[in-house]
Amino acid sequence: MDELEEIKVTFFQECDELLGDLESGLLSIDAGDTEPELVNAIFRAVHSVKGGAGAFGLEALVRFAHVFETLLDNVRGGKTLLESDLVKVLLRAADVLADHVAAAKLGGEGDAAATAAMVEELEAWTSGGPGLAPPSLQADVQPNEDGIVFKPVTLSLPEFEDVPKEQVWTITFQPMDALYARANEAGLLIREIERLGEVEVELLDDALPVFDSLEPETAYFAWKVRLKADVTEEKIREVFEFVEDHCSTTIAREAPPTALVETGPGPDIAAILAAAQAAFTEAEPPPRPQRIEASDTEPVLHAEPATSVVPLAQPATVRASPAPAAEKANQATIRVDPERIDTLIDLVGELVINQAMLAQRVAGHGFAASSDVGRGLDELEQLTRDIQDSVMAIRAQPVKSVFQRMPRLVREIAGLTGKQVRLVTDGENTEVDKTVIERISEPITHMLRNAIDHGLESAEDRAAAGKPPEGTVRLAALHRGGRIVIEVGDDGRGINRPRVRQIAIDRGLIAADAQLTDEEVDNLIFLPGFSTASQVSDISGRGVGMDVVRKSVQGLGGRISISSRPGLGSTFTLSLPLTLAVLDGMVIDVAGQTLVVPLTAIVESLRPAASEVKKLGVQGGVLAVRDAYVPLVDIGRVLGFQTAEINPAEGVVLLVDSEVGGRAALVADSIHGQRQVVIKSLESNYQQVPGIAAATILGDGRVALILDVDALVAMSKREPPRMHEPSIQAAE
Amino acid sequence: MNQPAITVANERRELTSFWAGDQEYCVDIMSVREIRGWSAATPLPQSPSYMRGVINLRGAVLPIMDLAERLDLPPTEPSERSVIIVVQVGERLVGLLVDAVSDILSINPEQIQPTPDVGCDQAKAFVRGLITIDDRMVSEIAVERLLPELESLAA
Amino acid sequence: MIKVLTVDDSRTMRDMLRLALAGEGFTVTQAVDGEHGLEVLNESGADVIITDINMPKLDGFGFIERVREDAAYRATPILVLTTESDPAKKVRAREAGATGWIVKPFHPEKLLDVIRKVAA
Repeated sequence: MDELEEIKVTFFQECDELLGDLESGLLSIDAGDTEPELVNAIFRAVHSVKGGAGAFGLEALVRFAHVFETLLDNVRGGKTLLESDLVKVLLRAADVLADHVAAAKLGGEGDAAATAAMVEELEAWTSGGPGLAPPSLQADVQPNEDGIVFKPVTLSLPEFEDVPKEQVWTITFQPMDALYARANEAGLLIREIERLGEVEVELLDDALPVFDSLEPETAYFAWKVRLKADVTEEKIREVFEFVEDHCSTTIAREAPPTALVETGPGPDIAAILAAAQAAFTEAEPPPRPQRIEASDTEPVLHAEPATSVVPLAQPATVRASPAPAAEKANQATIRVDPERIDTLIDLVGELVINQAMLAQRVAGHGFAASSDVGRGLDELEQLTRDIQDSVMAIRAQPVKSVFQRMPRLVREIAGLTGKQVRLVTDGENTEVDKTVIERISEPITHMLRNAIDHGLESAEDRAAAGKPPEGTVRLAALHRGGRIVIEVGDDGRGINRPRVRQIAIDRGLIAADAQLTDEEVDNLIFLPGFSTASQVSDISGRGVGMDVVRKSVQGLGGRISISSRPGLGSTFTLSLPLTLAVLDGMVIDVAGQTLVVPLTAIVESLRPAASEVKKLGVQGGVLAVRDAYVPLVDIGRVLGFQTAEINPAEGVVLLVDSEVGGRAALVADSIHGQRQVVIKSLESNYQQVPGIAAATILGDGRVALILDVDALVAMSKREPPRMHEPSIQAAE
Repeated sequence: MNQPAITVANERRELTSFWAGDQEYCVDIMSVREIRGWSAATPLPQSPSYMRGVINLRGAVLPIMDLAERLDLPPTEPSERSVIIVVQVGERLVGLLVDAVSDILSINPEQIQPTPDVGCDQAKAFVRGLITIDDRMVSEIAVERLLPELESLAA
Repeated sequence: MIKVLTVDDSRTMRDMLRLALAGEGFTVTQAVDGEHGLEVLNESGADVIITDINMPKLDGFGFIERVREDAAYRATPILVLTTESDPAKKVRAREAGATGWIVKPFHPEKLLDVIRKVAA
């Protein structure tokens, strides 16, 4: 990638951060925080977006950011009062700005109509208040023409001649003290002029007083420069751009262009400058710039160091060159290509696996755990795990980046439903692996939608129930038991259990006389085909039910559940592994194939007695586990690896909890034991495979498939049609 | 990236040719990432039979397709002499199981003739063109067409 | 090698400056706000300073004033990054002690020209 393109990538990353800061700043203000720095921070966020956008020529973005910034500058300067209505407008403006950034990222421009409307609103506030701004067509055509002054303007002053020919200019300039005080130097200015053409420089030292009255900080010299060049006066003026107020300058053109015929190569500029310096050196050795320190042993004369009288000398660097350690301190962060970290994580994963294989082989050779070899392996294992943890930590990111996107979503849904909603977030610094971060946004979005659309009541209903009209939705993240838990809670009406139950019965999801606990009833909403909305609402609907949410969560090795208290609200709890890079699994053999079953799905493994296996129908069967009968699932048959069934009494059974089909007993030939495996995607080179979640590579270099337990159980139910399962097939 | 599809006229092309099911085929050499011996693949459940499974290609999971079976020819019996040609298709890699690699052909694009209208659908679908060299006929495989259809098959 | 300290809270701007300068034989050090700028200056020094105005903690004006207070940096050129739309900022920056300014968005060539103008 071209380096400028890389910076562009950085720019958009930075934009996302700035937009996040902007929004959270505005939300804090909205919540009543009056810290003045907040206003500065939101101003800076918009300002920085504009600055970067300008660098990349993203003009639509620059134009909008400029209008936004102008209003914020007014707010910052106290010209516009930051009242509550304005904060709401600013929040929406932030959304428009975010749209512009998103559009620019894809090479386009933000929605023109929405922009024009927002520009009008912002400008109305800038010019004094919430103008009700009647929609005027003319205003729409060029919404912010006068605002566009950000691009560098090339002033085309009337030139003296169409094409400047070589001519002779006489420039005199006399620096004032202030010029030197700002680190400008006469010598550099003369050098700049020299770049324009041939020069003749004359030092005018008439103003130099006698030694006794010499003031160290006063500028005494002036210069007269004759320039023979093909330039305009404008070009010469540019040289003095930075110092125009700090020197007196005259620029005059000599009348006949022939005047300088015999000038020849100009006099040595360095000699003239040196002469000027020499004049000073004789008068008084210029004090060298240096740091004033308590221990300074220099005479009193230097108590007020007068560096400005040595404009021609290089600023003398008295200080020692910085220690390498100090240099290092500047590099608080390093930037690394994420792919390199991914590779490292993969390799460490392989290392963990190889270490486990090695341990297994060593044990197979009869080394005791207490032997030297055994102890060495223990240390190796510890070390390997430590390396793994450290490497994983490099890629860990706070969930903040996802949480930051939610306030806008909540505003939009609140707008669509007409409900008053306040979003409270907690634990946004909770860290989780990048692989997980990328995929939690969608389930959170759905849970929030559901909470607002179905969970919260309207303001009137709330008032009637004695609740504040504004509903609260709480989004929180925390670590628990080696997993990340995301909670989405609302203080709404809670789940209407009788209704949920009735729907489940109507749709054949449960038997009419099913005995279900409250919790079980609540979780019926995750069943495929279940939707509590009597009509598909635009918000929670979009054809996506909670069953799909649960499926995608399960695809990540996660679980989702809901708990509810009637009248008080509901809470969705989503629990996910901290990484999608490795997984703890049970390695099993089925029909000559080695498979991995995610440990999170396994309740227990057992070797059933023949008496515990009961035939049911032609192919089905159940296993008696304590007091219950659990359906048997022959993995090899379901996956199509074999047609003959394993006799569960001759193999091993894994009791699993599947979210779709409840508890099931997976039948395998044998178990190899638990192992951490590195997850490899099947989709990167191929595609999804039914019943398979992903693949991994075993210690012997062969690929083993990782089972998708839920999909497998669902597939097993598809074969012999059973009662109450019609919607599962519909979901496929 | 390495799509070989477009070539400028008169620019010579290099093709890797190989045997599959008693017929000679070729693919653009630019799309060949490597050629390796056969190793047992881990079968994929619920997949078309020409998908022989997946193998470990230096840490990545590589699907193996029996080219002969894909072309509706009798399935390949993998032996020690069988070869896997790893080709790049877009962003993906796929291993083609073939009987043996035969040649590297350097041809003018004009030497490629369009596929005549033969009865076999698979031939039409996957063969980009025919090349005659001496008395051999080599069919150029359009590798990019081999995979996408899979999406709909198992979905 | 001329050592340029760039002070800007925007990573994009810092990167742009680095890209424009590093290839031209300048050593570039970076700071994220005025306070950090003073720290970096203290640790590593600088021959030329380029600073943004709007920054958290210590803004560009305050930063320039503080730099100029230090005798060691009285003669160090300081350039401010400004936008054309804000001439008042230029004046304020000059009052604080800035040597010159760079108009954003800058063209790399223009940036080098400006630095050459103030640094030998």
